[in-house]
Amino acid sequence: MIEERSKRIAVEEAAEDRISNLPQNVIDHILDCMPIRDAARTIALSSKWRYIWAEYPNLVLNEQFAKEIKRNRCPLRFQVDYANIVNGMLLQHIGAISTFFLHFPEMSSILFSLNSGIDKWNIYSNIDHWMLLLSRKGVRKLTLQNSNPNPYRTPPYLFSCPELIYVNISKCIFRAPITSKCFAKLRALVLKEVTFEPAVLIFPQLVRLTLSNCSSIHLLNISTPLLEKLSLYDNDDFELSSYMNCKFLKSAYIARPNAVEHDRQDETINLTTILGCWPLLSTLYLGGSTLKFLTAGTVPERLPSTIKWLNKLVTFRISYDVDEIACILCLLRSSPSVSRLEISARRIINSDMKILDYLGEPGVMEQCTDRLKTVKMKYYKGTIAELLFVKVLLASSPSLERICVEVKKKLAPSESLNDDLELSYYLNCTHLRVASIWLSKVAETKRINFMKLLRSWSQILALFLDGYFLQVVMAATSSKRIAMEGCAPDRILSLPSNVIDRILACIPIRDAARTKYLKDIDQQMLFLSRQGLRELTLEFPKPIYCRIHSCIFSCPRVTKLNIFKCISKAPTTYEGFRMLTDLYLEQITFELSVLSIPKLVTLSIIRCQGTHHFIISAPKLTTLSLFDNDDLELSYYMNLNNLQFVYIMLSNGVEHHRQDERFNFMKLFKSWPQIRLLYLDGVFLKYAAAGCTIPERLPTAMLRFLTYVGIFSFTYDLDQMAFILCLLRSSNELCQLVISVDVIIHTDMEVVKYLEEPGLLKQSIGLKTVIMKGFRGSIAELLFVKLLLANSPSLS
Amino acid sequence: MASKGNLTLKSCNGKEFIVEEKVAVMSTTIKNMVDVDDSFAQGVIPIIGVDGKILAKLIEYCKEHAEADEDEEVKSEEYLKKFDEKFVDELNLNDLYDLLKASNYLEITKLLNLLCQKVASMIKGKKPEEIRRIFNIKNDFTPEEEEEINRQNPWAF
Repeated sequence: MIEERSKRIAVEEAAEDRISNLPQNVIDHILDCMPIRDAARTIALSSKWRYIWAEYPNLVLNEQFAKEIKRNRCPLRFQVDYANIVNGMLLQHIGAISTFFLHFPEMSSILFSLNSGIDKWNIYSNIDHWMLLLSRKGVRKLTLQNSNPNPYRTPPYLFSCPELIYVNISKCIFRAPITSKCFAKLRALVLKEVTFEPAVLIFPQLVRLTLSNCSSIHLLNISTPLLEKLSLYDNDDFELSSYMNCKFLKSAYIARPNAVEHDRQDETINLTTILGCWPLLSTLYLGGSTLKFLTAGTVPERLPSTIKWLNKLVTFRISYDVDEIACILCLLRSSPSVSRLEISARRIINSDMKILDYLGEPGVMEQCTDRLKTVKMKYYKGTIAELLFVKVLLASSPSLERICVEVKKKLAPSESLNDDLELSYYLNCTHLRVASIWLSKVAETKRINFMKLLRSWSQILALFLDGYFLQVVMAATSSKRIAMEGCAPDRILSLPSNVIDRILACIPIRDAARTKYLKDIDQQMLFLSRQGLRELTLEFPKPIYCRIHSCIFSCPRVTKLNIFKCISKAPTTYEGFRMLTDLYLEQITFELSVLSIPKLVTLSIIRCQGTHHFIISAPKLTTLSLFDNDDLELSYYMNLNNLQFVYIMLSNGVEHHRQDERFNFMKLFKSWPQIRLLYLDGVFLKYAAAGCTIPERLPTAMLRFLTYVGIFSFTYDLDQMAFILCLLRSSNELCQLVISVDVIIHTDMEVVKYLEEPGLLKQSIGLKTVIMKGFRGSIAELLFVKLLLANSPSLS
Repeated sequence: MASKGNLTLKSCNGKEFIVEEKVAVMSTTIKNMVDVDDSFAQGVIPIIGVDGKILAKLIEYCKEHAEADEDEEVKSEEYLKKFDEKFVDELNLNDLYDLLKASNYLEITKLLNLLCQKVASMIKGKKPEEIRRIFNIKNDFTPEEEEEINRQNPWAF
């Protein structure tokens, strides 16, 4: 009785309109998360929502908004309608507008020339009006994005709102406001493709300033005493003197276009003076030509004052000119706390004798950069200049932990000739923990000695390699056999010849010819297994099916293992995998192996062959995924007391003849007492149902915690239907059911008759959510839905 | 009693949860309380207006994200995205409201964002009638008013 009443109260509570009573800021936040058109549509919900919309302070009229209005309208009509809609919106608005974002929709150029005559419809004159209104609405964040070719001339009252804290404007002619008090609170100013008129601008609170692709910068006189972030990117003029008094600058990004030559060379501005003015600088981005410009031919050995806090140095568009490199080295010498260095190369790299002489000179970098931990080389091309530079860096950086080398994706044929990855320079990085090496193509090189490299990287924890790299390694190591201590016996060749033949039959001829290298991978694996490896991902170039060497199983500390496209065989005795928690196997062919993994939590076996040979004991398993394997062998997964999430899919079309007589889904569910989530597919349901007759319901002790059931490729087969209903009847806690329908639905009379039988579901079930994907409205589906609705009182 | 580095949070119906400090301070409100007053760090922090069930949910979310903030390599962005998806998918409407209010009060910005996104996704692209049905909003307009709204904002519908 009491229970029933509380249930009713719960239902009533759910029927209450709680969304309208949420705090105002939460509702505004929700409206922020959707396009303005959806937000505006809430006006029609109720009178309360009418006011919510009228007071909604963040108007974002972006490109999508303009596009939606543009749809199905002729261009001329669009311009008028667009202006009317925005007018209406602004006129209906009550109170402050704190955010205003306006994307100026593109008007065709013909219309523009037409409109310049008819000023009435000129969109820019409309915008002028909107801006005047906004300036009186307390606007705090203002963004104007102009996509038209001709710039918008900003009206003088645009910036007259004293509340402005953020301004982002593109493609405009910037006219200074009338009074200088306007920008009293402004914290961030972003200007793109803006043309300036003469102005004196004072920003007492400005923290972030970005000027990119702007013109007539020299007409500007800016004062920004509190600036912390400065970006000057490809402007027509290079004018730094305004920023010399920014004592609090922490981050500077300075680049000037490559092609433009600047005659107005200010003698007093150079690297020494600007960095001397910015004592707190911690991040510095410099373009190659800026480096050259700032050093103007004379690079000091080091700067007179150290850049104490500089932590990250990024240089880009580097052409490996002597001046540039000398400047980078000078900066490194002068910045004792720099820990991260990034260098992006230009398309064309200078490799003349001058730079080679400079870098080859012994003692070019005698001082150590003690704190340098990460070096990133982008668009690495492997020229001699680059190699020498890396060598210099490595020699002087004792605490280097991470080097990333990004080889450029597409290489012209002529460039690829000297595209070799000289890894021997990395030999003395003894602190290296993480290495990732990607080659996008097979490089012609014989210099990689991977074994030696690994031996010198004694502390390595994670290694990411791609298939091309492995091919290169294989090709290189086979040419000169390395005598390794404790070299494993060649196990592949000692296999019976029929097995070898089978392996060779699996791979194309071209790769079969190369299989003799595979044993070298074994050696590398053996080596890795002794280095305390924790995470390993192995993926081979597509067609090769490589046998995993058993030594992988002897890494005691491995916690995560992902293996693709291999043949797996465990050794007869092994003690490994004591720490393994994650195991992911895709497209693996198993040979007989018995594994016991005490700590395994997640196991995924996907598209594998011979799964019945893979006998595993994993008592701690909580998540099990079996997708599209050739065989379904569930008996190994019985008695998993901790199992909570199960995903099982059988590939469609594959007939499973090997029906295990002992298999019985009742037994299975009984052995998984903690199960909370089940994802099954239709084929599995049939398979499970075929073994035995489906009972009315399972014993109560089973499926006590099951809350979520997902079914895929459901065909409304009789067996499947009975199985689902059995699940529904048996699990009291079940609250979510998701059903995706297969391409073909059975609607034979048998199922319809079955579903029409009265009393099919006697007790009510606690389902709260039911999702039917790919619903097609067949009779069987409708009957099923009806059945669910009739028996699920708390369905929401 | 909470050990060092842990905080005890008490729900409005008296349930106590001991959580690591780094998890609890995902909430700006709690962070401010702990920063300002040391006694909170030792004793029990009452979380007003949030019951045990909702508090447990909040802690579940914060735990996952606090660990991710600490060590990016253990939990990838992808993992978190999946976690977030699953987290909001499992909520019913009432839990959703309770969590929205609680995360707003406790200033757990990331979670508030996630939940608002979820509600927004339930509103996006739907007709007013559908939205009313989902959220049980009562239509209190007269037909004339309704017509006026439609006339004023034809572009939105």
